[in-house]
Amino acid sequence: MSEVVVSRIHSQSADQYLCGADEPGSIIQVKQFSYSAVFYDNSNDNIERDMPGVLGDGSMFIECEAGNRILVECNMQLGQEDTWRSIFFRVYWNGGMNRAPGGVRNSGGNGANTTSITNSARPDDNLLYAGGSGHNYNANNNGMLHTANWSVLTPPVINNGAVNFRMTEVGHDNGNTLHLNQNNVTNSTSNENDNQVASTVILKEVYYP
Amino acid sequence: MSTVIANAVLRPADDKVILRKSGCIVQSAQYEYSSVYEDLNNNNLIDMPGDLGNGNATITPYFGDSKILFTGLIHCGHQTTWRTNFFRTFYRINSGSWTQFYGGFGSNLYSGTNSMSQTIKCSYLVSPSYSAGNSIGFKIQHIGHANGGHLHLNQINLSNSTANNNVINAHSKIYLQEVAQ
Repeated sequence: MSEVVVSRIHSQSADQYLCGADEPGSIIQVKQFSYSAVFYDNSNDNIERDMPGVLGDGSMFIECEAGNRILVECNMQLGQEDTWRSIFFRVYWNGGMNRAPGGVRNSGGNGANTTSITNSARPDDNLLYAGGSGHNYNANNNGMLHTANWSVLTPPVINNGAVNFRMTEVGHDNGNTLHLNQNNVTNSTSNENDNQVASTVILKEVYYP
Repeated sequence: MSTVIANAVLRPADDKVILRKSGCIVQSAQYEYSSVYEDLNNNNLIDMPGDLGNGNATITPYFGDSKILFTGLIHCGHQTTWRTNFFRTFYRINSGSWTQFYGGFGSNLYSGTNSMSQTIKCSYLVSPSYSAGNSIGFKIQHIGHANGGHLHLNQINLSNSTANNNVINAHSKIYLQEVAQ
């Protein structure tokens, strides 16, 4: 592999900054983790539960250098049936310092938090200030979809290697039930993904000096 | 033109990577639509207006194996009652046939008054198969829910009005980024 060791690169014509050792912001890499199946969970009324598949099993990861940060973008596709739905999401990582307090976690002993992510060199399974939420409302109709999108920049990763992420979901006490990726263009409660949506987490490693 | 040929740029002293060919964002492009556009037919599958749906939203990758990070951003207006709109996403190579990908998204608004607005955004990393020099085009299709699927694109009023205004100058967009591999 050909490499250049340099403190700063400018464009020749306009002498404009391109990248440098002292400036944060270069995107080193981009990874995506996607879940497109329809997933239903009606046991989440004020109970924190793992998200399905790759979103919740701790296998989302990105190999990072120490000191860099990770721009986490979440795209969650929230379906609906019957009435209103309000779902909240949390994001955990094992990349470094804990930025969010534990908060209230009503595990209820009901299958919540079955997964954890560990790394012998870092704090395990830390909650990030990276939560999000989505809301659908309709009375007596079905098949709505609300796409919730949010991004957060993590604290610096404290040492080299894979940084893992996982997500959990909590339903509102009165309007729970997650219908992930479920959407129907008609008034239907069938488990269809008519419009080919996917819930994704996109990870970007961002260079920091 | 001055050119340095390298796969990675490292900083002095500890060789930490500042930039690397594999994974960096090498170019971006944005396409916008700012007019108010309405489709008052439920369950009507149509191309979005202007550059959002006519195939003009393109990017020509520098490399033959890049991925494209697609972002759609839509301002959904509202009138009278509830509205649910779905958006489907497609790409094509040059002027070839369109391929749908899992970048779809949707909006849901409910109110008995007029002029609510909801901004929705969704990103998806697409891995098309193409050759160097090809243009990759993107488009969004819209379909409304069968019972409440009117589209009021970019329609934003600060009062209880159904006028076709965009008072905050919101633009719906397609944003494309080439991610080298």
